[in-house]
Amino acid sequence: MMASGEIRLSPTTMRRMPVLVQSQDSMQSQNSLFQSNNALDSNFFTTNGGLPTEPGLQGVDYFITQLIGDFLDPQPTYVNGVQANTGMPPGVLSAGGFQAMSDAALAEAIAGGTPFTAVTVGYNPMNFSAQISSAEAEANLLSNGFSVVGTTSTGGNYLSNGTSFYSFYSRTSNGAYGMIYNGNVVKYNLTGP
Amino acid sequence: MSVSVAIEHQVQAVKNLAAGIDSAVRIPHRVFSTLYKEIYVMDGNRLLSQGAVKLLKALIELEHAHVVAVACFQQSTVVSPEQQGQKKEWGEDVFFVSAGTSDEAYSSFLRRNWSEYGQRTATHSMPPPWLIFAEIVGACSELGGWYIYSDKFAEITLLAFLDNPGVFIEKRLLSDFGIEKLADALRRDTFFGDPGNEYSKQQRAILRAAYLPRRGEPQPGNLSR
Repeated sequence: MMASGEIRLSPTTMRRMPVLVQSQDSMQSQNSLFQSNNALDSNFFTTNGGLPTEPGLQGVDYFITQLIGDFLDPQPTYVNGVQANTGMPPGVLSAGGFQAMSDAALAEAIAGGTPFTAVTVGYNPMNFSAQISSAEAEANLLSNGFSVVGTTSTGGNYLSNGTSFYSFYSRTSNGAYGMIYNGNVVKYNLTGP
Repeated sequence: MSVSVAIEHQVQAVKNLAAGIDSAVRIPHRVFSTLYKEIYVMDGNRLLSQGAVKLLKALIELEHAHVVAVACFQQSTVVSPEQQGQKKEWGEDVFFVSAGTSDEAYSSFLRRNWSEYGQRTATHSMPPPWLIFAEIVGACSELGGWYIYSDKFAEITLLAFLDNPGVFIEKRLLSDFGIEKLADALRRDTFFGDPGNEYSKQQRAILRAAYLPRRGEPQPGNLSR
């Protein structure tokens, strides 16, 4: 079966036909995972994530909002007085559940020591930032049924439990990728069904 | 349009994809052929988001083209047992967008074989889902008047035009798609992570020199078409 919009090409340029898979509901495992980690089940907010344009949150798309809607606390949350989300009910797959947070506000939240999990919009559908190292985050996932399914060109791992994918990368002042927080890796990406 | 003409357009779009960039370099260095002079920038995830089809259709309309080829030049390494050591050319895995392409078709393509890769049960016949593994993605029409290049870890996507698209198009790109002239965007320091860090400064300086040379300076890059 060919996907709509796809036209068959000669054998040298025709891509392989996609095997379309309906993703399975991972609510149960994700909730268990996040509730098991204090750094991950606290507040959520959106942040710039390195986007070139202001206010920093553009292109919030279906993939992002779908996953966010799967597990967010339905109540609005705040980080240092800044509303973090509007209380989008779990399972609601609609845009507009989040407000952009500037890098400056993120830095303020970090400096304030507020436990948080940031939802950023980067290349991947969704990124989390937490005040834990990538090693801690990765170990957390591995102990919760995830396994390594791939590696990035920058040396990070892709972890998956069959329905969700995480990748880790960092950016420090000496040139690695990711967000900066006292030299620790604070950003990792989640791609959900 | 006949099938043969449609295929000709697709083949030409793939040829333009190959000819328009220097695959040996990555952002912030100049990836485009020197013929692409007008540089714009947008979110890093734009080519892998739902709005991608809408954007590509708008560019098709702008250029009076028929088809856009979207290709993944580099993917992360898959460690699924059945996939180890598998090597494919990017030209074997191209998605084509035309006026009739739906968002859903592209979305399905990006997510293909999601579960198999997550459960490490993918076989050789299953291409990896771009949404997870794609790192460098490009798009170009059969006319080649513009080129989109996206690098996952640079977190930006560049749009290059052969010729100045004009003020009207420039305004529409910004208002409808959040696509901004690179020269304007670089006035801020929100590239490559948190503002003010040394890494960001270095990367922005390279980006500026690579794509916005001062008058009288030679254009960087060595590709010609």
